[in-house]
Amino acid sequence: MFSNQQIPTKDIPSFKDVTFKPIPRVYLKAMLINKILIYTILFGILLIVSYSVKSKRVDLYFPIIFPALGLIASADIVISVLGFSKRAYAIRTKDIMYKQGLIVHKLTIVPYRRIQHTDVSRSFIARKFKLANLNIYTAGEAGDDLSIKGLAHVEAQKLSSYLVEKINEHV
Amino acid sequence: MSSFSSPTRQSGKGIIIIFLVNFYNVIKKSIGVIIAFGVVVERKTILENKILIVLISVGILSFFIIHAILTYRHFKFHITTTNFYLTKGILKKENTVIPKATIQNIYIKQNIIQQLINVVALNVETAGDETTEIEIKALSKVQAAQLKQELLVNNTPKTSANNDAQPTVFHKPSAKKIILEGFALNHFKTFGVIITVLYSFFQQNRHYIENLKLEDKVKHWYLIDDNVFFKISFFVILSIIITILISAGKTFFVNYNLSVVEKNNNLEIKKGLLKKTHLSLTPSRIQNIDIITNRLRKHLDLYTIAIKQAMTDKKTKDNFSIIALNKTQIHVFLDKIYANYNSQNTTGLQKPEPYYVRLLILFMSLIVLGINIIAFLVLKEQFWVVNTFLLPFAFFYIYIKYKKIYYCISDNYITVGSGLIDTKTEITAHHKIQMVRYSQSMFQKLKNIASVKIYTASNEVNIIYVTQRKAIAITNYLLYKAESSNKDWL
Repeated sequence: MFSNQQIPTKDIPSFKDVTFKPIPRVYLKAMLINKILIYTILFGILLIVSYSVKSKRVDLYFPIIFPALGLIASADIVISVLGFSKRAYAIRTKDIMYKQGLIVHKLTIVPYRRIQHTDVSRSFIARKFKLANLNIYTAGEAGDDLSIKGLAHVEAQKLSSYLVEKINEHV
Repeated sequence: MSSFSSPTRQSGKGIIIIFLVNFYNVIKKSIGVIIAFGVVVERKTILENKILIVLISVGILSFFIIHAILTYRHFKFHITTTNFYLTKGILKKENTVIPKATIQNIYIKQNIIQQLINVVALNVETAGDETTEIEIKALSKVQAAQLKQELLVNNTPKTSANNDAQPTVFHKPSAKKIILEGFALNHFKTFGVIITVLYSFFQQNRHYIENLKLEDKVKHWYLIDDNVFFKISFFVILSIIITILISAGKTFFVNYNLSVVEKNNNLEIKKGLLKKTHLSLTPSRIQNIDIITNRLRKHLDLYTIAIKQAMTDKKTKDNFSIIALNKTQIHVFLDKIYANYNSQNTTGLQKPEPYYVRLLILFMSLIVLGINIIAFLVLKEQFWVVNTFLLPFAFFYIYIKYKKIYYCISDNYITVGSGLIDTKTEITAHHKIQMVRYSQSMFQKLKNIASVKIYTASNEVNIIYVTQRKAIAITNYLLYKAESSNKDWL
């Protein structure tokens, strides 16, 4: 067990004591519509391909591909529904936290001081539901940054400007 | 005062460089189209119309020449006391401002063409995304040195005391040592590539090679009758020889005349035979370092240090490594970069929980099973033969993986060891941490196991499969360290 000479580990605030705020339930609806759309398009493309391809050798594979895609789609949807309650975020005085994931649960913590910039992005479906994604960029390599998806648009903007304020405090 | 205070162009020779670089890039990208076009032309026998071909070639050439001249004309830079300004672009104008304080690296390079016309390229890198990187393609050596110095003026605030310190040579390995390191490298990756290349080469040129009757000659010498055995061993031995020669040659060319000089608290690294690189490193800018060696190199007292800075793109990454260091030099280097690294309170070397071994066993069993199935389909009853190689390898893999992995957290640094063939030691300072991620799978939750991933601006470090209690404590402690430190992470 590691210890720290200056401050006993007990006195360091623990992320486990924080109360997290869940992502609004509407986002699940938006997410499901999005997924169903994508899978419908995929099925559509496959159907067209299966009708237009006349080769007998390729035809053999379609009875495998269709159920496989169906299985993947339903597994994906079931996991997103079950895992939705795991999505939550929290704000502390010095950092922002976001957790998600059913099978692998991940909790990411970004100190305000390390934030380079933030942005609020909205897809077409998200706009219909008045939702937005809050993206937080650190100096780390692209793709590893924090993205809180499906916040209420107002909340995302409020958080974003709060973060910008926090960043400028340190500059 | 500054000779770059008004907008300046690069050396006129830059036109040649811009022209050749653009021309080369376009040719490289469109080679497929050109070949396809060539085929079409031949088929339709327009080839006889030589005037058209000449006209097209002249047109293309003059386009590139004009483009190069215009690029050169519109590329201007200047320096104020705090910032570096660059304007460029013919149609799409770009204005870039880089505060001197955010400059990460400046390095001077010379490729073959630049060596021929006696100019150098100067690169300026910042921590931003890759597009903010700037390259000035042609400067005289004097100009480049001056520009570099002026850009670094406000850049190193903590060096006031020894500003005039004499440069001291920290490391200058002999050519013999560089070649030795090249031979002792981990060759497995290159071997994989070479064996595929050779295999396809032999497949394509089968008839020609069979005509050489090489096999008959050698068979005659060694009295080998087994054709398949001969083919395979000839193939493998050839691959091994080529692999080692390529690795060693590459190491030699890249690191030729390597020297690491300490000057004004900066480290100056110079190396290269065909492509000379010269770069300076500010120790406080280093995000983390990796120390890499392997069994053989350890025995020869050869270590490599890979230095990582924020957002260095993949191409320059290799240039930030110093090879052929010995153990004492590693200690000296660590003390230079990381104050008190060797005399810290530490947790001692901590290992992952046995859960990790079980995971490795599971992973290896799946691979062994998979290969056995393939072997059964190919070799039929004799499939078990593959296991004589496979099983020892699997045991070796699990044993070494677990043996080499550890982590160690001290007051200021995280040290993580790992590796299979290579032994890698990653060192990161707490105040460079950008982000921390605590993760746990469903199965790990049942066993109270969790992992922590630590992100810096240049890479990420994993502390895997420790007890949940330790993982929580580590996460809290590292965040506390990162958030309470006033040191600059850049």
